[in-house]
Amino acid sequence: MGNIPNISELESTKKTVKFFEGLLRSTPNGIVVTDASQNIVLVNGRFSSIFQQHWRDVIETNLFVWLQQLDSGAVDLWTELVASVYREGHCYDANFKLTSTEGVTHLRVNASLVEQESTEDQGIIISNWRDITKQIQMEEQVAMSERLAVLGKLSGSIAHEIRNPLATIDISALNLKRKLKDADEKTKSQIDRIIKQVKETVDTIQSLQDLSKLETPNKRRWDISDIITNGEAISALPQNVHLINAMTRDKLFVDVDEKQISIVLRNLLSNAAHAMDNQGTVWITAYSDGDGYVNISIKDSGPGIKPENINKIFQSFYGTNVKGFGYGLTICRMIMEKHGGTIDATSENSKGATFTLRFPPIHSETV
Amino acid sequence: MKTNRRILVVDDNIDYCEGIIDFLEMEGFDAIGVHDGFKALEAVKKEEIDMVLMDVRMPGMDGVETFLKIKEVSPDTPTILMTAFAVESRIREALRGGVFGAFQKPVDNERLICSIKKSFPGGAVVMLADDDKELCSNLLAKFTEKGYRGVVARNHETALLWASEKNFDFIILDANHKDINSIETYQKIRDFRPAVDVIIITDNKKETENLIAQASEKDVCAIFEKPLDIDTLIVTVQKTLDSRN
Repeated sequence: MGNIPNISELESTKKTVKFFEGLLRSTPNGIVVTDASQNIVLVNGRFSSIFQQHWRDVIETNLFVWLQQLDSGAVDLWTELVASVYREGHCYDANFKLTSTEGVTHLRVNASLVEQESTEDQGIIISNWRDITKQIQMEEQVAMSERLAVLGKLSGSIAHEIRNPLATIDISALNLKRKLKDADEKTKSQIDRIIKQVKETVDTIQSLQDLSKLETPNKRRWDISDIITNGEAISALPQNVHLINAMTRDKLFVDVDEKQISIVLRNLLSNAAHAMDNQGTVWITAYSDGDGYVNISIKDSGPGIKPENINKIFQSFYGTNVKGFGYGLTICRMIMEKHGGTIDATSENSKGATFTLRFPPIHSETV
Repeated sequence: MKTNRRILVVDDNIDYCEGIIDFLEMEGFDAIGVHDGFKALEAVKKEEIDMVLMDVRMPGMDGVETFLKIKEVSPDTPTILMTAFAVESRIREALRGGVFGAFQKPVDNERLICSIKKSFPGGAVVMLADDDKELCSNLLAKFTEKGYRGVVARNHETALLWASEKNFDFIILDANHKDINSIETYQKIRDFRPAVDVIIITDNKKETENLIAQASEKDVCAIFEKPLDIDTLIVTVQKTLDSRN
C-alpha cells in the first residue's frame, strides 16, 4: 500500500514535466522566471522569439542582456517593476517597446513573486510578456479616424473663416510690395515672407478641404504612367526643380481613383520641392515587385528626413507634426489605405528622401 | 478721350474691399467700393460701371442674388464673383446664369486681372486645352492674328479651373479617345457653362463620337481628328461665332 515502484515514479515525474513544458509552450504570452540576481531560470519560446532566439540560448542568461535590447528606459522600468513586486508581491502593467527594422513591438508586462518554502529560493519572479502591438495599432487607427471625422466636419466652416482674413492680408501685402518696389532688400523680403506664409496657410486649408471631401475611391483601371503624368500636371513644380521620369517602358496597371492618387502625387511632389527649397532634382519611377504590387517611388535631392522623424511624418493629426510636413502626408496615407496600398518613407542621411507608394495587384477577373 | 475702365467692388469685408480697390487702381483701373448687394444694384443703375467684382457671402442679399438683379437692369455688365468657399452649388448656379467668372479667396491676383481684362468687350475669348505645346502656340498665333483673345490650358484640371474663371466664347478641347478624363472634363464644363461652343480635337474621331454620344452630350460644335487642319478649324470657329452674332 502506498509503495509505488521507482520506475513509474520516474515516468510520472517525466509526465508532469512534459505537462508543464506543454503549458509554457502553448501560452500565447512570453513567460520568464528569474531568480534574485535576474538570471533566467525558466523561459518559453514565445519570450525568446521576441528577440529572435531559441529558448535554449536564452535560459540561464541574465535578463538584463535582453532588457538592454529593448528601447531605452527598459532597464530602469524593470528595476522599478521588481522593487514593486518585492514590496507588494505583484506589480501593475508596464509597457516595453522594441524598435527594429520591422517596426515597433509593444509589450505589456506584469510580474509577481513566486512563493517558495525554501529560503534559498526567495526572490524568484515570474513575468508575463504580452505582445499588444496589434491592439495599439488598432487603437491608433480608431483614434485617427475619430479625429479625421471631426476635422472633416469642422474644416469646411473653418476654411471660410480663415480664407477671408487671409485674402485681406494677401492683397494688402501685395499692394505694399508694389508700392515699396524701390525699398531696401530687407523690407522687400519681409513682405515676400508674408505672401509666402499666406500661401502655405492656404495650402494647409486646401488639404483640410481635400480631406473633408475624401470619399470611397471610385476605382478604374489605369496605366500607371498616365497616373504619374496627370499627377505631375497638377503639381506645378517650381522652375528650378528638375523632374526626371525614370519609368520603364513596360505597361503597369493599377485599379485606383485617379483623382485621389493625383492628390497623393501632388502632395509628394510639392513636399519634395519644399524640402529642396524649390531647387534640385526629383526622380520618379514605377516598377512591379515580386508579389505583383506596383510601386511608384519619388526621390528628391533634398536634405532628407532625420531618422527620429521618419515614423512621425505621417501623423500630423497626433500633434507630432514634424516641421515642413503638413497634413498632406496624413491624407496621402489615408488615400493609400483606402486603396489597400501603403506609403513609406526612407531617407539616407543628407542624401534626400524617397517616398514609395505601393498598390495591390489588379484583379484580372474585373477586366 | 478714352477713360479708364471702372470697376465696382462689392464686399462686406471693408478691409478687403479697400485692399482690392488699391490693387485695381495700381493696375490702371478706376475702382469704387460698396459693402452690400442693395448698394451695388444702386451703383450699377446710377453710375457708369464697366464690370462688377463681388463677394458671394454677404448679409442681406448675397452675391449670386445681386448678380441676377444686376443682369436684369444691365445685362451687358460682366460680373466676377469671389468666395471663400470652394466652387459649390451656389457658384455653379451663378455660372450657369452667366457670371463671367468665379474665384476662390484668397484670389490669385494675376489670374484675376487676366479675367477682368477678358471680361471687357473685345475679340472673342478662346481657350485652347491641349498638352501639345507646339500645336497650342500655332493655334494661339492664328487666333491672335484673327483678333481673338486666347488662353492655353495644358491639362484638364486647369481647363476646368479656367472655364470657371472666364466665360469663354469658344473652347477647343483635346480629347484622347482612351482618356476617360477628357470627356469628363467636357461634361463638367458643359454642366456650368451650357452656352459655350466647344470643338473637340481627337486622335480617333469615331471612338470619340461614340463616347460623346454615350455621355448624352450632343452639342459639340465639331470634332476634328489629328493631324489637325488648322485652317478649317479657324473657319469653323469664325462661322460659329458669326452665326451667333
